[in-house]
Amino acid sequence: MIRPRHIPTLALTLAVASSAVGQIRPPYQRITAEEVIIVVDSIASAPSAVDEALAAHARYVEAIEASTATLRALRRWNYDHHVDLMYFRDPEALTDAQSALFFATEEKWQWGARRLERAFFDDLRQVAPHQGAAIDAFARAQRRRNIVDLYGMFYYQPVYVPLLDVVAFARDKIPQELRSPEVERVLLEYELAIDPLLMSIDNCRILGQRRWSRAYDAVKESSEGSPVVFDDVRRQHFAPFIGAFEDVGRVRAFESRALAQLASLLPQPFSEEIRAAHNSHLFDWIEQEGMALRQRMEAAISGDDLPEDTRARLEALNGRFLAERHRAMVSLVPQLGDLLGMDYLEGWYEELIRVWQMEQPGYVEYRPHEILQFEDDTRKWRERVREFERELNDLIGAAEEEIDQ
Amino acid sequence: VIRPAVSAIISVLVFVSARAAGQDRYSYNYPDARVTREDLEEFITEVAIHEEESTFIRSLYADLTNELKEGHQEYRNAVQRAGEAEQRWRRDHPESRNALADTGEDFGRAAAYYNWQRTYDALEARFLDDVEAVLSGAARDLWKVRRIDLHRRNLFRDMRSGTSWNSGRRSNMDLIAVVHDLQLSPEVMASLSELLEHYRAQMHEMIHDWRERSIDHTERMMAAFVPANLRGTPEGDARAARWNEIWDEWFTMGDAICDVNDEFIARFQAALPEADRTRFEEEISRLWFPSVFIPCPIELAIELLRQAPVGDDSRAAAESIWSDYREQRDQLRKRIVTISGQFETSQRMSDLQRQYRDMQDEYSRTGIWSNYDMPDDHPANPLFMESRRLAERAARNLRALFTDSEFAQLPLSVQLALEWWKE
Repeated sequence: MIRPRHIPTLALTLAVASSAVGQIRPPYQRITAEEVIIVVDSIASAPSAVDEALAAHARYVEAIEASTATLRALRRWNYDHHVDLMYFRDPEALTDAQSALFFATEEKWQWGARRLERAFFDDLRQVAPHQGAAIDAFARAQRRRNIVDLYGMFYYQPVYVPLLDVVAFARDKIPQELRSPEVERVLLEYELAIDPLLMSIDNCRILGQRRWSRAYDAVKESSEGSPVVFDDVRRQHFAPFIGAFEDVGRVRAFESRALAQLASLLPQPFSEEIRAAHNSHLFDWIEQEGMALRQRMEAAISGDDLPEDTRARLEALNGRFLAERHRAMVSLVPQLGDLLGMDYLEGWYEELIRVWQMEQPGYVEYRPHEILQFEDDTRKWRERVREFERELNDLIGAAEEEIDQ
Repeated sequence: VIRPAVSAIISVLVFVSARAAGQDRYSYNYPDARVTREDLEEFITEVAIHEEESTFIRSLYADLTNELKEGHQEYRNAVQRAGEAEQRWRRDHPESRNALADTGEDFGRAAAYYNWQRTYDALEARFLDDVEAVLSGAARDLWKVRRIDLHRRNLFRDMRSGTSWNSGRRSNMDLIAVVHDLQLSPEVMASLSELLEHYRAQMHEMIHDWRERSIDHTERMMAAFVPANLRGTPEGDARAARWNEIWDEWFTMGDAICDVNDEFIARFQAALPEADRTRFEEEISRLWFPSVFIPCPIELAIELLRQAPVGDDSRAAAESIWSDYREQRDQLRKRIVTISGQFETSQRMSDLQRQYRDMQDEYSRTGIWSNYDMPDDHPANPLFMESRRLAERAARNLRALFTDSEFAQLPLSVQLALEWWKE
C-alpha cells in the first residue's frame, strides 16, 4: 500500500498544499473591495471613479475565483480519480504525470493570479490616470501583504515567524502629526528597498514547488553514487532556495534598519515603542496568552471601584509579571533570532536533505535540539503566564466578593 | 515546515482514502452537530409546527452547537497538554523515536478522544430526545422517523470516513435516499413503501448496535496495542491475539451492515419497473465507485468554453470533440465499474485488509512502513491510465482549436482546464 515512491509526493503534497487533494491554500491574498475604496477615495476626484474601480475589482475577483475552482477540480480528478489506496488501485505508471500536473497547474495558476493582479492595477491607472505613484504604492502594499505576511508559507522553515510590514506597523502606531517628511522618507526607502526582494522571493516560491519535486528525484538518484555528486546536485537544484533565504535575510535587515531610523526620529514614548516593536514582533507569536494577560492586568488596575489594597496587590502582581516577561523575552528572543539566522537555517536545511536522502529509516520527524530547547523554554513561559493568570483571577474574585459584601 | 513524518503521511493517506470514497469527514473530528441546521429547518418547514415550538427547537439546537464547541475545545486542550507532555518526554528520551510504539504511552490522547466521543453522543442524543418531547401528534411521529433517517445517513458517512473503519466493503449507501432522489412516480413509490419501511427498521437496528459499540471497540483496541517493550512477552502475545480478534469482530459487524444493504439492493432491483431499475443501478454504481465519476477536466473545459467569448466555429468544433470524448469515456466508466466490482470480492478485501493490518502492526513495532509486497494488480489500473490518456487526447484537441494569441485572451480558468497536461 505505502511504497517509498509515495513518500516524497505525499510529504510534498502535505507540505506545499497543506492538504492532499481538493483544497488549495495558496500563498496569495486577494485585494479586497474595502482596500480599493480607501485607495480610490484618496486619489480620484471624479465621483464615478469608485464605481469604475469596484467594477474592475469585481472582474479581478471573479477571474481569481473561477480559476481557483478550476484548479481545485483538476486536482481532485488528478488524484482521487486515479488512485484509491484503500482498494490497492494505484497505477504506478501515472505517478510522474500526476506529480507534473499537480505542480505545473499550481504554478500556472500562480502566474495567472499575478497577471490578473497586474491587469487590475492597470485598470486602476485608467480610472485615475494622474495618480501612478499612489497606485504603485498600493501595488507594493499588496506585495508586502502577500510576501511579508505569508513568509511562513515557506515550507522549509524550521520555525514560523512572519516578517514585519514596517509601513503597516507605522500606520498603526505613529500618529499623523508625528509623520514628518523624514519619517515618510524612511518608510519609502524601506518600501522601495524590499520591493524587488519580495518579487524575487515570490518568483522563487512559485517556481520552487516544482523545483523541489525535481530536486528530490535528482538527489535521490544521485545519492546512490558518491556524496560529492549529491552535493553538486543539491547546490544546483537548491541554489534558488538559498537565494531566497538570503533575500529574506536582507528583508529582515531592512526591517531592522527602518525601525531603528524611525525610533531615532520619534519622541518618547513612540521611539520606545518602535524599539520594542521588533522584539515584540518576534515574541508575539509565542506569547499570545502573555499579551492578553497584560491587557487584563491593565484593565483590572484601572477599575474605578477597586479597593485600594486590592489595587496595590494587583500592581505588585503586574510588576512581577512584567519583570518575568522581560526576563523571558531576554532569553527567548535571542534564541529565536538564532533560529531565524542564516547560518542556522542553512544548517538545518542541509540536515533535512541528509535525513531525506537516507530514505528509511530517515523518515522521522526532524526537530533539531535547538528547536526542541526553544519550544520547551517557550512552553515554560506559557505555564508561568497561566500561573499569573490564576493569581489574577483569585485577586479579582476576592475583590468582587468584598465589593458584594 | 516539511517534516517527512510517517504519522503525517498516514494522515494524508487516510484523508485521501476518505476523499476517494466520496466522503468529506469523520464527524467526531469536528465540533459540528451531525444533524445540521438545514436538516432542522427542512423538518420545521415540512411539518409546519407552531412558531413557539420551532423557536424553542432552534434554541435547543443553538445550545447543542455551543456545548459541542465547548466539548471539542476541552478535547483540544487535552490534546495540547498531551503534546506538551510528549515533547518533555522526548527531551528526556532522545533514543526513542516514538513513545507510543516503544512503551504504549500516549499521554492521555486516547482517553481524551473517547471522552469527547461520549460527550458528543450524549449531547446529540439529549437534543434529539428534547426535540421529540417538544413535539406532539403527527409532528412527533414524523420526527421519530426523521431521526432514524438522519442517524442512518450520518452513520454511513462515518463508516466511509477512513480506512480503519470499514473492511473495504463498498455497500454503505443510504438506499432510502437513493430511491427518493430517483423521483419515482407516486404509484411506484406506493408499491415500494413496505420495502422502504422494512429497510429503515432493519438497518436502524444494525447501525444502532454498530454505533453503540464503536467507542468501546476503539478503547479495547487501544488496550490491546502491543508496544515494543512488551513484544515477545506473554502479555504482548495475549494482546496481539486480542488485537486481531477485535479487528475481526469489528469488520464482521461492519460487513453485516453491508450484507443487509446488498440484500436490499437486490430487493429494490427486483421491485422496480424496468426503466427505473436502470436508473437505480446507475445511481448505485455512482455511489459504489464515486472516484470513477469525478468530473473530468474535459467536462470542466467544455462548460467553461460555453461561457467564454469564443467564435462559433471553435465552439462547434469543441462540442464535437466533447461529444466524441464523452461517448468513449462513458464506455470506459462502465468497464471500470464492471471490472472493479468483479475484482473487489469480500474475500479479497478481507485478505488485503489482513495484510494491511500486518503492515500497521510492523509499523507500530518499528516506526517504519516496510516495503511490503502489496498487490499491485488491480485490473482497473490500466483502465484508469486509459481514462487519463483519453482525457489528455481530448484536451490537446481542444487546445489546438486556438492559436497562441487567441489562447492568451481566454480566461485563466479556461487556460488551466485546456493545458493541464502540459508541463
